[in-house]
Amino acid sequence: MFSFGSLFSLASIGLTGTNLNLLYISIILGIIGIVLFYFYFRIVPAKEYLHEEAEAAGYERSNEYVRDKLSDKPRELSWKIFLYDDSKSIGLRYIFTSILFLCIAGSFGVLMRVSLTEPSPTIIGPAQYNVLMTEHATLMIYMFVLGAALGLGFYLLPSHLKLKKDTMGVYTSFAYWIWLAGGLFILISRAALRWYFYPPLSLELTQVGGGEFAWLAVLGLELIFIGLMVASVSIIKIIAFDRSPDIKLNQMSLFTWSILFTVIMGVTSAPPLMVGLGMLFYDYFNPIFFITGTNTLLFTILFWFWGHPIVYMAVIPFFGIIYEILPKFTGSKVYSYNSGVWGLGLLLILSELVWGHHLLNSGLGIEWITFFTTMSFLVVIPSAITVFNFIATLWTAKSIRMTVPMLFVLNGIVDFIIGGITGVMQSFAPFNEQVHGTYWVTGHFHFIFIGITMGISFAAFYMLFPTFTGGRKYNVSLARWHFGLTALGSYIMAFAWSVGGFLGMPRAVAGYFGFFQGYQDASIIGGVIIGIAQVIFLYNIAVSWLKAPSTSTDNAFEQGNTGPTDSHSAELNKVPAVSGGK
Amino acid sequence: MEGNKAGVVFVVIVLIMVGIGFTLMLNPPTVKSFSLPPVPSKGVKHYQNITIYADANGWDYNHGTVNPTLYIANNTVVTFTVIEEDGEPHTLTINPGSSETSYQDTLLSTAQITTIPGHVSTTKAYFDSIGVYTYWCTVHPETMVGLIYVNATVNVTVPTAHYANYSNQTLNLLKNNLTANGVLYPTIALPSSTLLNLTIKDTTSSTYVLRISSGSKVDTSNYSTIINVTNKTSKVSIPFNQTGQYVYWNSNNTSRFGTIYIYTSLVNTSLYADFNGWNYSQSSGVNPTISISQGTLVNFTLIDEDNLTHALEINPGSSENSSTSISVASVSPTVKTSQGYYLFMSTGNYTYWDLYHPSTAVGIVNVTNSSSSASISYTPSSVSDPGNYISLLGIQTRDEHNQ
Repeated sequence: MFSFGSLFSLASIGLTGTNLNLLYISIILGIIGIVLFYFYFRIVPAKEYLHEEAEAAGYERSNEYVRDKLSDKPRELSWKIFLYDDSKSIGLRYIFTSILFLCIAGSFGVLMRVSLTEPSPTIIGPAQYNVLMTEHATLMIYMFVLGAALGLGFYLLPSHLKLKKDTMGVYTSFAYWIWLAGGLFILISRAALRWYFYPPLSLELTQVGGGEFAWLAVLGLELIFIGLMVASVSIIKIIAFDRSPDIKLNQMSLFTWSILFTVIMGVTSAPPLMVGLGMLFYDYFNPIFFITGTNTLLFTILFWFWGHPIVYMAVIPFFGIIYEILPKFTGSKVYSYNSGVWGLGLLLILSELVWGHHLLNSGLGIEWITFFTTMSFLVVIPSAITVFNFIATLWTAKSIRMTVPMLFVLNGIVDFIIGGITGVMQSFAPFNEQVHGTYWVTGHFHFIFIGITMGISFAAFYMLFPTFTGGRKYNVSLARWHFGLTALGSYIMAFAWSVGGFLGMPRAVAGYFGFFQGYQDASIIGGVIIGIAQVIFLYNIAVSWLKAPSTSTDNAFEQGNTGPTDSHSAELNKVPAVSGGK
Repeated sequence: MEGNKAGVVFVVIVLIMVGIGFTLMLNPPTVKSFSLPPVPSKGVKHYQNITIYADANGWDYNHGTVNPTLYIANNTVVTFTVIEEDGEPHTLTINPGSSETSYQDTLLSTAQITTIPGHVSTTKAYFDSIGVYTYWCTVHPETMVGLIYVNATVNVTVPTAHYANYSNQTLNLLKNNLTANGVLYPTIALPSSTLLNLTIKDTTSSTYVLRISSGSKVDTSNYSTIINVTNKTSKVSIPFNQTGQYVYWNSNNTSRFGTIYIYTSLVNTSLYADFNGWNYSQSSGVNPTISISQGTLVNFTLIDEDNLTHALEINPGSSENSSTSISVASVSPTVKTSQGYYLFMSTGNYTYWDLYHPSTAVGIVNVTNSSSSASISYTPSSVSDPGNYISLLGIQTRDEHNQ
């Protein structure tokens, strides 16, 4: 009798009995899923549906209908986004899925904080803590950050670029689904690998190793990469070939530039890790690549060659959003368009050259350490260009309207300055040796991730809220509470981590020494405050959406852009934008 | 998601997904619950105190044997006293099996042991199933790890030797009887200090309880439960330290049982049955006196010489005693050869005799406590037949002890 087990000698990797049955069920479910996926793409969906809509609107070709009626017009959230294949629908899918995963992974984060009320693990055990930490990190990075960046890209680019055609829908829809499947794989794998998936831990499919289903996380990550690749190529094609002939390259909005740099970063730095993950997966069946000590270091290099650019992908598109939001509430143009583009472009180049600063303590040798340290210091230049550009834009403004998105932007800039400085300090090798593996690192990147990535995502969401909801306004006071608590919580949490980490508090463990009780308690308070703030956010969405539409769905954030010579945008930029709040 | 309900729908989806996420994360495949049984208020047979020193270099570091192997009789309440030595955090964690798994029970946490050198913390644990357990420290799993053997034997003495011998036996449950290789309740002969790794395959889906007791007969008042089988396949490791005879049976059917002999040495010998006397035609002479050392398991092969019925009976003492004798083997005109065991546990004389010809076929087995010899010798002369491999009713067992 044919047996999968004998084919792959699955028993040799610990897959026996129940697990083997689970594998068979998974394979069967996978085949069913592929068939359903095929029907979704070929029979049910977009083309037919869109065609009917186009005919009803008097168009013969659905492409023209999409271009004229959908592609650069504001879009409302509805179930139709899963049937349409235009960029804005897919953008909405990405945006709302990313918020969903933000809540899932964020709740894991809060749970981790709460579990550390005592030095010894009490509420949850170390094994559960490791799983929570892995899921928090992996889902945040790949599902929230990538989802928000790609989603805002797909949603805003058609308007910013006045697309002449929007024909990449089938591919980007595929990219979305495969990305979502990857995220769900990682969620159900419950792996305990950290977000780096280092072998040999990731090769140990045991209860005390990476978790019995760690292989599912490896598969899921590979799926996410495939989705990212397809989406990145699609965005590059949209920007390079599909934009309106009226918009020259040097007239594109700064957000378009930031998304372009982001996806270039994706396609240039993800392939090494994609290959690495393939090798890792092969090792489950025939361990030849990463089983020995030196090859383990090889995987870390493959990983961090991608691992550093991904953290810049969590920042650069959101700098682009800041550039788009600032003019709307200052009434003036961005101080320097050119330095904005160059600043982001330099970040792109440098991000590919600094991966080694994550491995300063792994024995790279003094020459490489010098190189990576120097390159990391150089990152200060484009970061400073960008921040000074923000400040100059604010400085030259006649008046600044302190709307909720603007508050998030200002808080994000301050957060980035703090997180950036603590980050540069780390790239100094002797200091790195001191703080490596401590909460200092956690504090550093949470300043940036909460301030820039999460905060600016919220800013963009609040900007677009009237559009998403078909003309409804959010409750401003609730939104201000959301902002205030998020900012306060993140400061308390990240400061406590930074100080505790500087004194040597080890990160990524389910317990701590009693000496650090105060720092842990402070970070628990901060984490819980952040959690409460997000509950307010969700409540605000639900309650505000229930009200009747009371404003226009037109949106200066979406329609106007920072392109320097676009008269339409310049005009819109002068008009103070709707904040979406009443 | 159309209209004004979209926000509510989205928030509900978020809450459902967060709930699913929490449920998934708090029951990860890396965590399986195990806990030692609670200390019962009555029915405890033994109490034992074990004191160990917690040191990152190993349990009992600087206190004799590092990571000592602990031997406990079944149904024992053990009071563990852990003394902190080095100011580092430690746990006392126990899991079934001979290696560390997360299927574990942490008896003393880092908070209980504390990092104060000299701090004494105690806990009680009850062991009610036979097998091997691992005790370790989750903070120092590489250095602080040792084994606990929970024995079937009633009297607890720590043997000097570790379980050097290793044996694998598979028993299949058929209806209410245990078989191996088609043989009903096979006799298992093992050298002492053996860890018997038993795999029980339940070919039916009936529930059964495998029990073991000391002696040659089922003792329903003083037994140990080896395994309480609800699964199709169960594995259990049973350590046997001391020479002796045990019986194993299924609690559903106490009338049938199998024997486990634990011996210090094993010899094979042939006895020729003749109505004129044992070994009448052999060079050893008629009714030879057999000399062996204490604790020897003798594998008798009875060979019929005269087409009559014979039965080998052995009893302690210098004369025939049918009330204490055990029938080892019997031959008849149709069954020409037969095989059986007798374990000579104590020094002194045993009588071996023929049930059907007690007046002519009767001899003496002289058991001495000489530890030098693992052989059998006859008076007047010897026809010993020691072998390294013996076939026990179809089960090949390697006799490592005699090598």
